Amino acid sequence: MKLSFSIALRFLRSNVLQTIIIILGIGIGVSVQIFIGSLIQGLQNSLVNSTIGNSSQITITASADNELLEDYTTLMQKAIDGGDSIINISPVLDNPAFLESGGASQSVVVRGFDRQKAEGIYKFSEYITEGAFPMNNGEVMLGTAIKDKYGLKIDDTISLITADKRTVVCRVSGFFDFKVAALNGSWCVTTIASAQEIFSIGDKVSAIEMQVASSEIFNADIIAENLRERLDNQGLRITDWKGQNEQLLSGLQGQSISSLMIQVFVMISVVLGIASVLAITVMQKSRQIGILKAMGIKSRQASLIFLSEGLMLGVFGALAGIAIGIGLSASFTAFALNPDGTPVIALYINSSFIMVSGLIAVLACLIAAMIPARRSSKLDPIDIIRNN
Amino acid sequence: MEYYEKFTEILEKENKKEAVEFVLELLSSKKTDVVGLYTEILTPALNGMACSLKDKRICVWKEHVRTAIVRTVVECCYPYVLEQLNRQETKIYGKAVVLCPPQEHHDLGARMVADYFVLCGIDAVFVGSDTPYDDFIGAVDIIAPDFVAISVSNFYNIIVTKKLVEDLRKKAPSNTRIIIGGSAFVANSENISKINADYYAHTFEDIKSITSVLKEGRE
Amino acid sequence: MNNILELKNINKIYGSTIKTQVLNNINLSFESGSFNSIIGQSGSGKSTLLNIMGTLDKPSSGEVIINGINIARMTKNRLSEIRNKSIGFVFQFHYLLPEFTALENVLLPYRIENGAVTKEMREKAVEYMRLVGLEKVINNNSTKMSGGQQQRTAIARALINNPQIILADEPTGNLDSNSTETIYNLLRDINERYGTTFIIITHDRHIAEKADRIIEITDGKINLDIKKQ
Repeated sequence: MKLSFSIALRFLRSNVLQTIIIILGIGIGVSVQIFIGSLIQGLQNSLVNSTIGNSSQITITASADNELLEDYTTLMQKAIDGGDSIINISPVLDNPAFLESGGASQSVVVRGFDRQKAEGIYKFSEYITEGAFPMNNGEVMLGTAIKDKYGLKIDDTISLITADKRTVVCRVSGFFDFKVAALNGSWCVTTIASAQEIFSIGDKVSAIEMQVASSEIFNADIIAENLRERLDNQGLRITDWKGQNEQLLSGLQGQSISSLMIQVFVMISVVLGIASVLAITVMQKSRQIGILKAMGIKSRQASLIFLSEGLMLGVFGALAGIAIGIGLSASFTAFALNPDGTPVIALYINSSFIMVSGLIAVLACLIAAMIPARRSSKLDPIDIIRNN
Repeated sequence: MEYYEKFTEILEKENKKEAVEFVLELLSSKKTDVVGLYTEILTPALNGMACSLKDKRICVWKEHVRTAIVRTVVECCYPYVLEQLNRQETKIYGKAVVLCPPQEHHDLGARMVADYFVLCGIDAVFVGSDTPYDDFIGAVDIIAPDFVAISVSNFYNIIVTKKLVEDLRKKAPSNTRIIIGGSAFVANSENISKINADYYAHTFEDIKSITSVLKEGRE
Repeated sequence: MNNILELKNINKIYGSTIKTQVLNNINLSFESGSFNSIIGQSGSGKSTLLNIMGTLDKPSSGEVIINGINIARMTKNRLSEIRNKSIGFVFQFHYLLPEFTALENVLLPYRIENGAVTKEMREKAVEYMRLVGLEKVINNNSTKMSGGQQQRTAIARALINNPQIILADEPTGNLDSNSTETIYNLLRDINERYGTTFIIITHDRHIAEKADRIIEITDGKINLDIKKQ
């Protein structure tokens, strides 16, 4: 084994230029694989992120319309106890109302949040443009669209008219910009206690919202199903983002398949390239193999020489490919920019994907090396000796 | 045997003058005859040349010098060969060619054998060492010898001798007898049978008995 | 004296439609420790004979017996082991591996069997290189040596596993007469020192005439088989 390996190393070192070209060939294949893979995964991530990154991925509501959840703290505890994949959990009390300011009015959704818990899902701290999150009852935070529409400032007051025609006057504590016009123009954020007071509701919420770990995003339906079994409550309805975004899902799936196809064909061309190059090296080295066989090297040892060559070329090719691939991805994010200077697609380094790509390349080289290994194992020394 | 020791002593000194004078004195005073000289003194002296020196190149040089002295001694013996022939009143009955195969350089034995043939009443032509192969084969039917005697020292030359004998069988007259001899066969007698010769000769007596058949037929 | 190598009724025929009989009923046996030469014109079958003795080639019929064992009964791996341990080859075209230094080439047969090289083994290899007069160029790349040096390296390589038999095919075939003499003396010295059996194909009479035995092959048959003593 050791001898075969060191002979292989010598063979590779004896023609450095050829070896470098082979390694580069493998490397470029692997780098294309990694670049395309990372690009597509980055694209998918940013798409998923912008769609469901700042919203509930699994939501618990009462099964009947307009019913509220009563013992929501116990429910939340039960949901959390289920496992680690649920990372954010937050109760919310939603009620429709009319907002009136300076004679004009529009409909809004009054959303009562637990500030700390909701931060995990909605990242208010990142999106608040002015003022602060409501602290006391009777305080609300509005989107920038409403602010501009009514010319509001911090500490201005607005009126909220509830469905049962009561008018509650609230102070504006801050403004937010979620970068989504529909939200900026319709949300009226307050605390749960404040919302309960405005709408004269006891200690109840309308929904419990959850987010799962980013690696589990595509398993949200399974997690929801588990939750359903665990809570085992007919009075609850549990929904997940996948059930509500089927178009997005099929788009993502199509992308994944096409990316996989590209990767498979890149890999096949890499394998074919390595196989033919190694087949040529066994021809180049047949004299040496013949001599070694005359000196008593066994067929198994002779094949191991070429398997070792394949392994070494694979390992170095994969390493080169990983370096080039990451370099390509990094330069793509550095040079392909949006007008505002942010990258078109954020750099996404999935170390396990890169490792797997590298391992597949090494494996492919080993498989490609089988052909010359077999050939060298069958080489008869007498053919070399007889023909000088 | 005392003459052998004395001669060896002279030879080791590489003193050519003394060697020739010593041998001629032996022959003229009839202390030995030509056959006795060749058999008991010169041949053992040639074979027994020992060299204690470490440097083999000097040994080979000494061997060549001593062989040259013996060669001169042998040539000086020819008058005594003729004298002995006259004394025996032997007639010349036939013709022999004595030679060494190509590449064989040890020819002194063959040279002595030529004299043995003469003593046995056979006119001997000593062709010498390193005989040109094709020339001899081409001329052998014209020469038409009764005997062809081939002397081989280096065993490698057995190979060419075998071929030579096979070619002679085709070219030489059918009554030509082929005799082989020499140290290559002395060292390993199995080698004699490897060659298709008529006779193997080692001593003067062997030559005498081989030639006597012809002698009786022609007398 | 026991026979280290025996050939019984060896025939070798090439081709299936047009058959060429290269060897015709060869029977030979070689004594342990003997120094043999094989001569014959090119095409006489002597190289084929040597390759058959070295288990590199297979006879069409007949038996090859090494150390009393018929090699027809051996597996491919066992034959490799025999070639590695019991037989040393010296070919006309030295056949060194150009990727390795002279010393590494000498050590290859050892490494085939044992993997790593011990310090003692390395010293032994250096000793053999000294024996062939190449101690100054042990670390030279084999391609940067003269023909004679390469051939002497190949001889050291053939010796490294202390084989019982050394098979040499025109070992001095492309060397000048000085190198030829050096190599012949070397082989003879090894023969006397280690009792190694030598079977050497040569067209060089200076080598052949110094052997203990000369076998002449003509048209695939033994034409002459003579021993010095």
